[in-house]
Amino acid sequence: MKKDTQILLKQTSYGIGELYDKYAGMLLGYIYDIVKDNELAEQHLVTFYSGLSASYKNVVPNGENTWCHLQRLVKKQMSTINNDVRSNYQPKEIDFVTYNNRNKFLKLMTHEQKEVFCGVYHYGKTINQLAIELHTNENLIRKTLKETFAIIKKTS
Amino acid sequence: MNIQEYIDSGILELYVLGSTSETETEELLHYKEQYPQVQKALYELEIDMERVAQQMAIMPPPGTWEKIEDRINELATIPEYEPLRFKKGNNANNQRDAGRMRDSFIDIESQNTHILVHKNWKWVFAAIFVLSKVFLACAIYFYLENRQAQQQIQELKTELRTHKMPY
Repeated sequence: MKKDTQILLKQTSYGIGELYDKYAGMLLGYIYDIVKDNELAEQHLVTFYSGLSASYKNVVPNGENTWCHLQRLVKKQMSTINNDVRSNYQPKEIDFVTYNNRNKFLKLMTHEQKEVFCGVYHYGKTINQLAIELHTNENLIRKTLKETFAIIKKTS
Repeated sequence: MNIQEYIDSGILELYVLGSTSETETEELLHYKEQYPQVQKALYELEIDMERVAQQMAIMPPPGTWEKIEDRINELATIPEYEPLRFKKGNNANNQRDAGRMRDSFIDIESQNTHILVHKNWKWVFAAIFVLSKVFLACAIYFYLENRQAQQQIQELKTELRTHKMPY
C-alpha cells in the first residue's frame, strides 16, 4: 500500500508535468530572451518548475490565465537575480531579431516600441522607469505600449 | 468612472505584462468582476500574450524534465530540520551551550531506511538477472549432458564386460 506522501508526490509531479508539457517551451523562450544563454535559461527553467512543487495547490488562482500567471512567477524569480548581473544580460541594443527570428511581432515594431515592450515584458521595468530612461512622460509610454499590443493583435 | 477610459488607459496591458502594483492589480481584478467589458478586454490581451509566447517558444533540450523530476524527488526526500536557536546571554552560558551542542551533534546515521540509487543501475541489475538465468540454463544443460554421458559409459562398461566373459 502506498503512503500518503508517495501519492501526493506522484500527483504533484503529474500536475507539474502537465504544466511542463504545455508551457515549458514558452517559458524557456521567455527566459532565454532575458538571459541570452540557452544553458542558463534551462537552469532557471529547472529551478522554476522544481520550485512549483512546493506550492502546487496555489499555482494558478481561479479565473486567471495560466500562461500570464506562470510568466509573472518567472518574472518574480528572475527579479531576485542581482541587478548588476541582470544588466549584463541585456544587450547593448535592444534588437532581439539579431538573436533569432522567432518573433514576427517585434520585427514590425519601431525601435522605441521594442524598447518599451521588451523593457516591461522581459525586464519588468515600470512605466515610470521607462519614462525616465527614454526621457519622455508616462502617458507616452502607455500609448506606445498600447500601440505594440495593436501590432500584436493585427499580426495574429 | 468611465470604464472605457479605464480600459484605454493601458492598465490592462501593464497587468498582462505583470507590471502593475498590488493596488492596481486589486483594483483591476475588482473591475474585472464588475464589468464584462474589462473581462473581455483582459481575456483578449491574455490570448495575445499567449500567442507572443508561443511565437518565442524554444523547445526544451531532452532530459530537462528528468532534471526537474529529480529535483522534486530530492525536495520530497530531504527531511526538515529544526533551525538552531541561539540564545542571548552571557559568554559563560553561550560556551556551555556550545559545548552541549558539540556533544549532541554526533549522530551521523540517517534515520531513513531507504537508499537512493542512480537510474543506470536498473540496466546493470537487469543484465545481472539475465546472465544469472543464462548460467542457470547452462548448468542444467551440462548437468544433464554429463549424466547422460555417465550412463553411456556405464552401459559401455557393462557391454564390454559381457563381451569379455567368454575368454
